[in-house]
Amino acid sequence: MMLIKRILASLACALFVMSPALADDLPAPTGEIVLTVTGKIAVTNQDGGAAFDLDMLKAIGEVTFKTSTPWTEGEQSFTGVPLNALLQAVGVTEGTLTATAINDYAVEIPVSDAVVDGPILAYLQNGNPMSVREKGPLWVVYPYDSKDDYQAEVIYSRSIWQLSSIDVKAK
Amino acid sequence: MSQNGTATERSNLRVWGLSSIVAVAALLGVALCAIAISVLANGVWREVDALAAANSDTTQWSLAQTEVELLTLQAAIHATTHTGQPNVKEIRNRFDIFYSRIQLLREGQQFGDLRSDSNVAGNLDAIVTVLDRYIPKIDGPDAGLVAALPQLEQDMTGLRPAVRDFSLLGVRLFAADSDAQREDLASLLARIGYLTLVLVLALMSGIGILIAMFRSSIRAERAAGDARNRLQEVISTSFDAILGADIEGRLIEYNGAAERIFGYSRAEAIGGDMADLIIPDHLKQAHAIGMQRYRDTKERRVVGMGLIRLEAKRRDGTVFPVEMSLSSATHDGKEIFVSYLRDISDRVAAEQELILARDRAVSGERAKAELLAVMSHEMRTPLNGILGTIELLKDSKLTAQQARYIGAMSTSAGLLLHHVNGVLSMSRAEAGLLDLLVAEINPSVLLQELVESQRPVIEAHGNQILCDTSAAPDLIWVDALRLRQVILNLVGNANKFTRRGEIRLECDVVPDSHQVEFRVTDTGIGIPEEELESVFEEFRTLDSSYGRQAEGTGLGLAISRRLVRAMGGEIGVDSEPGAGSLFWVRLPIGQPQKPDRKATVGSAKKKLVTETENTPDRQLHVLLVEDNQINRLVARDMLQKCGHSVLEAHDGREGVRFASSQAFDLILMDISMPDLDGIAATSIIRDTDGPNRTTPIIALTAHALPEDAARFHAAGITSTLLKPLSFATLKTALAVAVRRPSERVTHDAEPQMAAVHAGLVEQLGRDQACALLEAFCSEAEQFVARALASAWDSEPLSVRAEEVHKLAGSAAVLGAAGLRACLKEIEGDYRRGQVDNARKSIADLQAIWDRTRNEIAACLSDAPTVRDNVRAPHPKG
Repeated sequence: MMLIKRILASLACALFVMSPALADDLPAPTGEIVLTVTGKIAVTNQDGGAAFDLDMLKAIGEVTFKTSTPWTEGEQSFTGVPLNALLQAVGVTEGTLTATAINDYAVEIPVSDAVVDGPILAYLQNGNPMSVREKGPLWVVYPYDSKDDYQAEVIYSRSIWQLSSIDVKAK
Repeated sequence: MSQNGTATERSNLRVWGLSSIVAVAALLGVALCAIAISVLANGVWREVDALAAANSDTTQWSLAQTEVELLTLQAAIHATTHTGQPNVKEIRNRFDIFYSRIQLLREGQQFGDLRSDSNVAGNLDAIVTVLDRYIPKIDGPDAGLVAALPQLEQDMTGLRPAVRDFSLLGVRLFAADSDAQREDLASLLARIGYLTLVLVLALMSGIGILIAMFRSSIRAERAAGDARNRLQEVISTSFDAILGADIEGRLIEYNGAAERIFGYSRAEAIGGDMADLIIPDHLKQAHAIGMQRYRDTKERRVVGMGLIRLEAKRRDGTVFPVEMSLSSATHDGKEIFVSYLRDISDRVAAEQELILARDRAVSGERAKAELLAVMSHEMRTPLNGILGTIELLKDSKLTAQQARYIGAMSTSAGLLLHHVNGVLSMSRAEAGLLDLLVAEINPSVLLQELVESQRPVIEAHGNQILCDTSAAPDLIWVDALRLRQVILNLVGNANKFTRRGEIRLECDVVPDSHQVEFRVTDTGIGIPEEELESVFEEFRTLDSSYGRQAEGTGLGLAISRRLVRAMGGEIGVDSEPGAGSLFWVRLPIGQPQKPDRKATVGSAKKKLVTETENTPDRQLHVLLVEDNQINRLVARDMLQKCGHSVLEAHDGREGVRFASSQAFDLILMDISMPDLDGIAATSIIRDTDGPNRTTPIIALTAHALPEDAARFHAAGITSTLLKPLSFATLKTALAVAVRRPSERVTHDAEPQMAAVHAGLVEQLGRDQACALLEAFCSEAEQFVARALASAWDSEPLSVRAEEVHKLAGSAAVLGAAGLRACLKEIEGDYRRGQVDNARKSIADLQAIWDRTRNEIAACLSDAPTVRDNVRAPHPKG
């Protein structure tokens, strides 16, 4: 079984690697840039990186889930682009992400965290856009309530808010 | 399997039981420990989880970061105010970040504890109030913001102590928190540690028990193996055949002894049917039925019943006796039979030989006894002749020398008779023919009489005789005759071996027992110790310095011992050679006998042959029936000397013929005669309607056993005389016989009753004698009433005859002669079927009985003054 899974995974990787090549370049951002992805990425729209405005992120995909967090009171609804969809969009399949916030907080997130039903880059909290004062505009949120593994200090530390850039490194 | 083996097994079982309890307990302990540990481990897991979820570090970081964000905001404002080129975007950004930090503190779960501090909450509210005041400027146009910057810088500086306090407070709170958590964890871990220790101990003891159990099971297995081997050894070396069979009777076990005994090899036998192999044909059916019954009902007839004797068959078909025991056992859930068979051919053969040998010995003994009896009889008959002739010679005219010779002859013949009688007593005692007549006696009187009678003989030896009966019991119940015989013998012996000495007779009660002891002590030569054992043996005479005495047959003590034993007593001797001997006799004192009429009447019948020395007044006409010429001669001469007339018959037939032709006053009848013996002849005379039907008939015999007396009596013989005849006994018998009333002689028998009663009183004591008479009286009264009643005639003849006979017997014994004669006549009529004659006699019965009753009444009222010379004769030679 493990072997079959691995083969399937490899096949999937091959597809993902090939698709951005077909789509080639990202469109250039038109609005205010909220996120810049740099480093070892396959798809770019500016020199050495990929810059995204909010609409571009929304175009990649949108997921909404509810969860509680250590930093808020009560269950919150978060809407955002799944990390795995974003990484697909920039052609990243492996390595480590260094996520940096506006206040220069930085944390490493392994690409392996980017799974379906995994973390998202939230831009709406309870349906409202988040200002910087409200940990916006982007906040990496894991569905903490969905599994115990997400209720760990490491995950909490990766839940970076006021996210501004991601640098991708091969391991 | 030995007892030992079983015991070991039992103790193993006990060990197993114990260890299994311990093992279960240990397992339970282990399980409890494991559960406790897992619960605690879960706790630890949760603690660790909590640690993972806990975020004191990040929380502190967040608190510190708040201060950092404030400083960064201040720095941004400061840079703007000092350079004069305000970077409003940066300021706005930093303001928002700081604001978001403060919001985080106000809203984040992780700061709940922090916020519960009212100081902190107040500070937070104050900070937010300050910040909210600037939000219109931050969100407003740049110019407004720039204008407000100096004030903002100042206000932000004002916030610093409060923000600083957050960090410090966080450090304090979360340090305490983490301390508590650490302690919790530590204690949890400690508990786990203890429990783990317990668990390890439990596991170790469990392992120990398992090892012990393992070892013990190995030992048990080894013991069981040894026992099995031993058992196998026992089975294979057993002398007995051991067979195992299943419920169908097929052999499943067959040992070496079985091979040897039955002849089949083990291979041939195993699996074969027992019935075919070893069961003889005549037992097969019984075997099949038995097996079937056991299969059907489980009823055990042979199984477990111990040793039984059976027959079995060998391979060659020979049938031989075996001893078998059969048991059943359960093996692998199936019932099996195990039988042990022993070939007892040899034993059975030996037993049969033994039985044969015993039979030969017994028949030899019997032959010896018969020889003795016959010899004594044969010797007594010629002796009778010798003694009789001597008696006759004595009365003839003799010279002095002839008289001396005759005296010597008489003495010798007397001694010879004594010896013959001794041998006869002996053989009788041996044949168990001793007939004991137990009566009440006074031992002192008996001894005194005996001393008086023996005194002359004893004094002739220069001896003294003393008698001490001061401690003797007043009354004992023994056979006086036998006792007298024994004591006489002992006294005679004592006298024999003592010269100028003393002979002492003593009698007393043995302490603590119901026995009387008689002792005869002498001061004679004594008996050497090595001879003491043998003095009571037959034909034993002790050599003595006085030489062998003429009268020493060597039978005296042997007979004495037999007599004493027959009376239930013991006899013994102590002696000191040169000083004297002590013979003792111990007898049961006995007890008064109930006046059992029948028994006593029966005894009296034998005893009371009364005699009188009176010569009959008148001359008698006597018929003498005797086949032996000498005896006939003697008897005839004696009778003629007494003045009687005698007709001689040479045998029974002649006697009967004479008796049928003329009447006699008396008939003397020899018992053992060829062809027609005395008994048969008497019966004929009594049963034919001749002139001598009621004539007294006196039997002459050399030996009379008690049962003979009854037979004689039944035949109609009036009394019995033992050969050899002597004048005295003959005279007495004649007197008694003719005085005994018969119908012909007289119906008036007045003197008879009194004499007989007196005799009875002397023999039995007055009370018993009277009781006898009274019992007889009521018996006769009842009978007479019955016989006169009409129902009497409807009884069967034989029954009537028998009843009349019984009463006649009693009447005879008590001397009721008239009644007896009448009854005898009636009995004879019944036996002959002459009922009419009988009825006539019965009509007379009442009158006769009335007379007899008066006599009885007279006897009962009179004091027994009539001694009438009545004494008990020696009834046997």
